[in-house]
Amino acid sequence: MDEHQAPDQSDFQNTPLAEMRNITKNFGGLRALDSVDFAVGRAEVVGLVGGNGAGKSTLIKILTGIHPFDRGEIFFEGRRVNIGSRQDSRALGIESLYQDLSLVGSLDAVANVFLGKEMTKRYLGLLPLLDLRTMEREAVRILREQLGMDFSARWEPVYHMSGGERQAIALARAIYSEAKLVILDEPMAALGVEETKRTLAVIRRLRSNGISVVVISHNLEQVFSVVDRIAILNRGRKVADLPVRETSPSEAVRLMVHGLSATNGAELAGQVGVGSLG
Amino acid sequence: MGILLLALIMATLRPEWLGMVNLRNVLVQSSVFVILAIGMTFVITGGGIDLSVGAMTGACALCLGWLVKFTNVADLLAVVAALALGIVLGTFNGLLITKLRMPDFIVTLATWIMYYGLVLVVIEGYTLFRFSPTVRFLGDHRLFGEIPMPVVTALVVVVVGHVLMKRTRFGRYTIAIGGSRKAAEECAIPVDRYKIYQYALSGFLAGVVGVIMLGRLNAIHGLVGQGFEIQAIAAVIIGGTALYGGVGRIWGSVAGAVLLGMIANALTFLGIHYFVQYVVSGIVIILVVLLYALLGHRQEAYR
Repeated sequence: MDEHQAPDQSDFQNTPLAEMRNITKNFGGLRALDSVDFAVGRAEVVGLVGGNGAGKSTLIKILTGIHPFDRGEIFFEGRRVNIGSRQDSRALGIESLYQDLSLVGSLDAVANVFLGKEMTKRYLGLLPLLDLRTMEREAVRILREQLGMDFSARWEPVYHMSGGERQAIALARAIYSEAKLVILDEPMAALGVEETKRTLAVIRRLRSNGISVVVISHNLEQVFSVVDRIAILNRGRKVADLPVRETSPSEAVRLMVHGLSATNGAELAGQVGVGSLG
Repeated sequence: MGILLLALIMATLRPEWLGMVNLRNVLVQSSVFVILAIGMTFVITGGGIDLSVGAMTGACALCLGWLVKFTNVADLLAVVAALALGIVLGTFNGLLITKLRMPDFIVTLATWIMYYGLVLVVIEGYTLFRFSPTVRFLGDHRLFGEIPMPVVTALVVVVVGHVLMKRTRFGRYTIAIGGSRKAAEECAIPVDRYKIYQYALSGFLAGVVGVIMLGRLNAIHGLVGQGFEIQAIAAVIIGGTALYGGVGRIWGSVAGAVLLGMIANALTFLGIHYFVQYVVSGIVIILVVLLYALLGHRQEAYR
């Protein structure tokens, strides 16, 4: 399940960026994940879909270190890793953005981008004070070059801004932290039409900057419009993992709901989960 | 906040009240509350509250008085010790809140009563009188013969407070912790450590005020500092800092403290009964907060 990932991407290596093998997770008597394989290639956008309780959140929480798993292995950049906490995942370059975005509403955009990692300058040779000017320049640069959004002269508190803008700021923070893999959990849930288009554009931009993205979403139309590959979970098992060109939203829905591959197209290059629903 | 300045100007419209002597009085009386309000601003912005500042003021003043009267400690050292006590008491607050995970309100309520009780235990019903000029410096001295030290101190504290809030990690993290503790934790900000700093600062400033009070009164008794915590909190709220944290208005707190001081002063000037001041102050608080609500400022943390 390794070398044949995302064949249409131009990777500098063929090993995936992140790889979860055979992950099993139980919560007491409930099997949340059953032998799930999930991999993300370099500069690849992968969609992770499934109904409620399918296990998407659990899988991601395992990848970001919030939950331990019972069986399986995780590899990052080819090496086996042990992700025991959010710090661990962050240290590897895995950043996740949840719906509440973890921004401080009363601070401005620049302050939020640098939150926790402020730059300081020594004034009068002694006191380390915040280097506001440099941070502003950096933040504006990141937002413009990497995300395609113009934020110059926007010093208002973040709570004034729209959902899409706030998301861009959260993403800028992840980029400044040199994230290699960004996980977006329902990124377009609270956005209108225009902002959704912008977010999708931002995701594509991230990919062209070499950052991999995992998108969890209920909206299959949106997912299909931006991802390279889609992984479908159903009741804790992966039932399909296909390049997006080889399937369709309606088939995806079928797989999500019924967990069976209704067409043989699904047995091709990707993994079909051992969904023994018989 | 502009409204506050207007209110200040309005209050100034009583002619006889504008005499230099009286203005100086107002400033001196206000400066004590300004200093406490700055410390309180950091605590409240960080999402907490410090009910014990009044008691800490009394404790530090007592410490100073006691050291001077009953030990051979040098005057200057005694002042330093009193300030250090403020830091210690404040840090104690911070530790209880963070390590024991107890709500700020409860902890500082308890320490308020505790410190107040300790003061009374030590001094019982007595009053200590007559202190040396060195000891009274911060409270009584006049810079260049004209400017009272409390005002100077208050100004210094305000400027430092502004820089701290806007230009240092401490200030920014304080705002972050109060605005969204979850976000702050996600960004690996050591929340507990900064909360302790906030309370330590509050304690230190209470110590400063304690020393000032001893200088001004030239006496120390069990009731010094009583009611200060109420004034400080009121000043901060009037000043626009949201009660649940996340917004830190230093200059607002200054205006709030000065406004309260002016109200007290003006009412005294007009010969109105002392206790009525409390009623008026209370009404002012309600009006100001209502005004804020109408203008769209919320008292809750912004998400």
